[in-house]
Parts: sequence; structure tokens; C-alpha cells
Amino acid sequence: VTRVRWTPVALVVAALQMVACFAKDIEVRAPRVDAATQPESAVRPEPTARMALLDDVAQALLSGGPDHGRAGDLALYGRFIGAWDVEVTAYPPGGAPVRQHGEWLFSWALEGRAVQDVWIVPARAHRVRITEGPRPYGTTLRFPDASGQRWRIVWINPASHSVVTMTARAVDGEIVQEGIDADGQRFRWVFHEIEPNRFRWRAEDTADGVNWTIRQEMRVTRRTGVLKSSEGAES
Amino acid sequence: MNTFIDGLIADGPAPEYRDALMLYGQFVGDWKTVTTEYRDDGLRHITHWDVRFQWVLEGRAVQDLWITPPRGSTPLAWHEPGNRYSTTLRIYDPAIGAWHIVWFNPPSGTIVRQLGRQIGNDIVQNGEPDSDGEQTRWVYRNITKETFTWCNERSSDGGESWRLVQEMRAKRVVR
Repeated sequence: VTRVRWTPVALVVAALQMVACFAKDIEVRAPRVDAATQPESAVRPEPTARMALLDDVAQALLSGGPDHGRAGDLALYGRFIGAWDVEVTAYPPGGAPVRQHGEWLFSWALEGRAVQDVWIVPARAHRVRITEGPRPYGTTLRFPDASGQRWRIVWINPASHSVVTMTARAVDGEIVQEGIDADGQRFRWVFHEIEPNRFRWRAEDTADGVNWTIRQEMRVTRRTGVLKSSEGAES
Repeated sequence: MNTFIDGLIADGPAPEYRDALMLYGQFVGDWKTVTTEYRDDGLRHITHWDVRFQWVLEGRAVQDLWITPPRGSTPLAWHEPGNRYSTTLRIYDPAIGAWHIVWFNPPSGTIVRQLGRQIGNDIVQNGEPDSDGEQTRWVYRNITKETFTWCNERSSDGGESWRLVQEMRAKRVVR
């Protein structure tokens, strides 16, 4: 593995690139690094090409609504489409609770046959200054099975290199996502007290199938008001 | 920009594993493929695919779309045979020097998990054997900046020999 050499010039350019990135304005970008100073593989396309590319992926991935034929089944998670603010409390074994603020963004995907979300903790607005501790920035993809009664779910978090597979169903107005972790331990993530503009969420596991221990909780509130295109970002 | 896309899509690879991330990062962009499926009855079935790769999640992951038939104005029903409107999520795991790969195709109700690694000039993605002991691997070969070949191969003898069941020839779409 070759390492990027942090020459003073490279550091300045990297800083400029970060600024350009945070400004969330894809077309205004820092000057490109001279190709000779970078491995060939790291050379990026020109900004205009990148913009077109981004539109292509977004356009193919996103959907404005659910697949018409299965709108009923899809509503289980479809009701969360939008942007949410998250207050997370983690309960580490033997330690004090840890509180963090995050954001949770849901969208229709894949011709309205799936719901994909992005879960970011700490929220991007605070991420720059909070550099210690866990910094999950992951995505969940989910779709209903043929019966419409169960959803297949995968949560992926590159920050901890984890892939978590679950099955979900509606239970008495709640959504219960169940799975088995790498150690064979049963766990469940539950959406509860679901209202149009707020819900709660908890993660629990059990060793004996009877007693459940809460590991993490969230209070989730829908973002409201007129939003700019860059809401949630630092700009 | 769309709020969700703003949170999902990244501008390039995360700096800490930049070189490793380029294994799939090299495909970021749009591709068209001509795909040949070699059926058990000896017939060949040709399809066309629309494939798009993008950096996501702070540049620590790649998400791509694999679509056939390419969408025009006529929508396809959910369970139309051969309908693929699928996506792959890939994350690099430095602890094992490999990529966790998850492919989702809602129309067929399929989720496939694999581990992807560079082997020589190829990228090989291996899955767990199924209940009959049949193994499947997806391999990227002949990789250039503008082209690659993707092969879906199966083995019934524990990986001693592989037979080709599907081959895609991909060309980058230049805009």
C-alpha cells in the first residue's frame, strides 16, 4: 500500500478541498492537484463531468414515491421518507450513558420498491469538531418480501466495517427488526411511539430469549420548515 | 440538491484508505453492458444493462446500480421475469483486507452477500456455498479505464472447476 505523502502543498490543497466539500457547492471546487503528485488512480474527472455523474446516479437511485402496485406494503417504512433529527443515547455495559445528536435521511429508492436511509452521528453540522468516539455514517436498504408481511433489511456502516442483516415486521403499531449478531446473540431494533412527525427507537439484545437489555435509544423528530438545498450541512 | 442524496453521496475516496478504496472506486461513473447468459439448455440469452457507480458515505463505500432492461418510458411490473433494478453496497474492511459486498434486487426479492478481493489483475467476489454445496463467484476481469468484463461463475466441486453462467462486457459511457 502506497501512502499519500503529506507535503506542505498537498496539505494546503487538501484543506481547500475540504472547504469546497463543506460548502456543498459541487461546481465551485478547489484547484485540482497536479496529476504528477498523485497516484494515477486518484485523479478525478473534471467538475462538470462529476456533476453529470452525480445526477445520473441520483436520478436512477431515487424515486418520487412507492411502486403503485404495492403502496400499501411499502407504507410501513414509506411514512419515514424525509429528514429527521436524532437524539441518541447509548448505554455501554458498565459505563455512563453517552448522548449524541445525529440526523436520519430517508428516501424511496429503486423505482419505489425499496426505502434507503442514511444515519449520521454526530450530525454533519457537528462532525467537524467532534472527532473523538464512534462516528457512524451508514446506510440501510430495505424492501418488502413477496408476501408484503416481512421486510428484508441490511444496515451497513463503513466506519465500523459492519454489515447487519435483519428481518422486520409490524407488531401492534410498532416495527420490530430482528437479527442475530456475529456472536449468535439475538437482537432487535424497534420503532415505537410512531407519529407523523416523531418516533422513538430502541436497540435491545437478549442472551436467554426472555430478558432484553436496552443498548441504545433514539428520540427522532421530523425536520420542519422551509429547507434550503443544503440544510444540515455546515454552510 | 436532494437532502438524502446530499447525505449519501461523497465527492471521492476517504483519505485514510484511498488506495485500497480505488479497487472499486476505479469504476465510479456510468457504464453500458452487453450481457450473455449461458443457459442450461445450451441457448444464449443476450441482455443490455445500465450500470452506474458512485462514492457514498464519506467516501468509505461505493454504491452502484445494475439495471436491465434499461428503463424507457414503459414501466415494468414488480415480478417481471428478468427484471433487475438492483443496487450493490461495498465497504472496505482493513481488518481483513477485503470488501463486504451486498447486492439487493427487490424485483426478485434477492439479497446476495460476498467478500471481494483483488487477485492478480482481477477482482473476485466469493459467496457462501448454497444448501446444495453449489458455489457462486462474481469476477471482474480485463479491467481498463474504459472497459471491464464481469463473469458470474459456478462451481459444484468446491471451487476446483468453474463454469461460466453469465458474462457482461462493460463499456464506460463518455459524456
